[in-house]
Amino acid sequence: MEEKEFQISPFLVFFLIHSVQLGVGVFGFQRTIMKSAGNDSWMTVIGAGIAVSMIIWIMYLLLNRHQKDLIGIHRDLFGKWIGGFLSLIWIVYWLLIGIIVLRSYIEIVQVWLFPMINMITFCIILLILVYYCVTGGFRIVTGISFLGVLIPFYIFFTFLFPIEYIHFRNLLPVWNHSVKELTLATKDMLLSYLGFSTLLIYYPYLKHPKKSQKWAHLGNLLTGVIYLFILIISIGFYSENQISRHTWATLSMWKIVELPFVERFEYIGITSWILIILPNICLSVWAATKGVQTIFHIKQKKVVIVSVVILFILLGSTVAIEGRENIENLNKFMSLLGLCLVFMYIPFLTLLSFLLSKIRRGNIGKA
Amino acid sequence: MGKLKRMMQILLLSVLLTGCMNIDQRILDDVQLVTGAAYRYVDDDIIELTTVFPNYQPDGSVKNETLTTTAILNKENRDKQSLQSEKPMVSGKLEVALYERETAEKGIVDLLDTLARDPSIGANIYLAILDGNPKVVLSKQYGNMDNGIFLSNLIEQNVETGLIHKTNLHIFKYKLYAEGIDPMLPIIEQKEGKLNIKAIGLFEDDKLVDQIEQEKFFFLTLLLVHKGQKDTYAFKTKEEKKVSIVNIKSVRKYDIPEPMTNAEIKINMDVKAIIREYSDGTLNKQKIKKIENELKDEIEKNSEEIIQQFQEKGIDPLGIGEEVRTRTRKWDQKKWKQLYPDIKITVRAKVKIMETGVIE
Repeated sequence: MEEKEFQISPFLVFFLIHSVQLGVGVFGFQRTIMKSAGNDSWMTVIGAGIAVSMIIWIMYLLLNRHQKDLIGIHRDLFGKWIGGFLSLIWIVYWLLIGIIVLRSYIEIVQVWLFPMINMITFCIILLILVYYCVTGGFRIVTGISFLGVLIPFYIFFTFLFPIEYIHFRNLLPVWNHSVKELTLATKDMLLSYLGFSTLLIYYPYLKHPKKSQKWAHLGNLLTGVIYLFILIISIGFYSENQISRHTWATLSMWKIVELPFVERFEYIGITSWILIILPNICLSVWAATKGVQTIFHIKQKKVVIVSVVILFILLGSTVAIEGRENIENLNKFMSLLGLCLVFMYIPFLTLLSFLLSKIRRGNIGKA
Repeated sequence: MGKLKRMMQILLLSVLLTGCMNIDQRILDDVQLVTGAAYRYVDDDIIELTTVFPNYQPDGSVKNETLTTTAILNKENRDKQSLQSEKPMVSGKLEVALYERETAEKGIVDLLDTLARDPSIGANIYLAILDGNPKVVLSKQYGNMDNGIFLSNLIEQNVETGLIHKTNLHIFKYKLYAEGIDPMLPIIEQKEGKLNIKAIGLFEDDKLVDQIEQEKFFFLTLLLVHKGQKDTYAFKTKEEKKVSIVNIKSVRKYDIPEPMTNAEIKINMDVKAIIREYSDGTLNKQKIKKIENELKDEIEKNSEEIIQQFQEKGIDPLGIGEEVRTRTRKWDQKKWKQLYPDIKITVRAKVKIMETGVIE
């Protein structure tokens, strides 16, 4: 566990979990899940939320046993080399989250606001801010998460504008999709909840880790509620064939907003959204930095260099990915990796941890 | 001190970098804000686009100006128009899009793409059908504003006062892509030098096939919305007395006992109205009772006629299909299209006159 002065109060886990789950995915998650589950897709949001809560519970089971972060656990269970390698996969995954979030956000800016925008400059300005947060330590990252949830929260009220055009009847008839279709859609929905795995690395920074579990679940609940809210409005607002034509259905809903002082609300919405994605990038970059630092035993003084290197990787790869297709492909790869790591590897690791300790204890008993 | 210096450097860097973002500035005075666009197919695949934009005069008045070009696609038309214009044409303030009647009969889905794909165009712009040559109709000035704003105000005002149904690009697209409902758009004509909403055009998919005349707007809006108000109607009773009423609250409910079969569908309407003009002196209880009964018959008769008209054409602007779809798990669009023209649809109305104005 870290020293007391670097630790954070347990309730802040609420913001950490929620802020990293909610990112650019909100803009276009409807299309994929409605493709298979149609008007019943709201059930999959609830289903996926429950599944994620279970994974959070399993994570706490694992972390509470070891009282260490994931990298420490890997070292305990698999030794220095294999453990280090497994940790590296996780670091790549966290870094990928950062890249995807940043790149998808820039894509939205390119398509909706400024097609000619200079990506490098935009990235550098944003990453200077990220650099400030990450080198400032975990408490600063937590602070950004806290503000990143509270300040832009007003944005969700703007989704009440479309209510005038809603056909709530579209939700009916309930349950006209097969269990198979719903399961498929739930799998797709799980992707929208990803990112909470950073808990595995900031766990030692929690003051009373056991008390924080309830807050983690609540954070996940808030994410679920927001997804559910936006989905129900989207189902009523669009007809099913219409939503499949919109790449960013949530954003397209803002097109209906009419305010006396602004013609296109998207400009306000998208720029406000930067506060929602900032904690995403900060937390994933921080997790990657922290991971590298622990694996290679890098001294605190040199952490700055690590984070600069990581930020340059982020910048380079973000600028290198061009076009809808490449972004989509990388997104798919990241989703697959995330799905495997979080929903398969974590339960497996927890099981292994229990079994290994049983065996080891057994061995000690015999000796 | 060193830390402060570094902070200042970073801050300066961020500020200076914003200049390198390569963002297009669009200053209001330096662009031509297109407020209206009218589309017409001159050939099978050549589009004639007429755009309307305001020209602000030094004395504060607004002059309506138009540009007309032909090209294979709308955005190319815009480029061609920019070649004729002193300022670049931008579409962010587009308020109304018009389709010439024959074009609408051919189908407008290809022409909608330019509106739907462009992020700068809102979902609440109005669409309408223009009966007449766009170039001729739009080049005339109708108010102290350009015709884009004028048409937008014309439609908006009538939607808000309840004379015509709610309409805009989003609603049109919703109905176009939804299963079990077909879109409608107002038809505008030039009549004695004025613009006039002449009828409501009915679509099958994206093609204009039929229309509802002004006299029947009341029944159409009554049938269309679940909870409606503000629409008006005037009629002659059997005793040649003339009455004008305002609907202050109407509730429309579907009764579909066996969805997806050809069993009868009942539409129940509960209308609460007030009398705003009457041609035969004072009103008393018996007279009101009579008016209520006759209005009830009028609504039932006309509504059923309208529905019959829809069924004959095989179109469903009321969304009866949508009502069926949300009531059954056996929804099948093809099967419904076959069933729909032969289903017996009856309208039952209940009318209550609440008030008769400030005099009896």
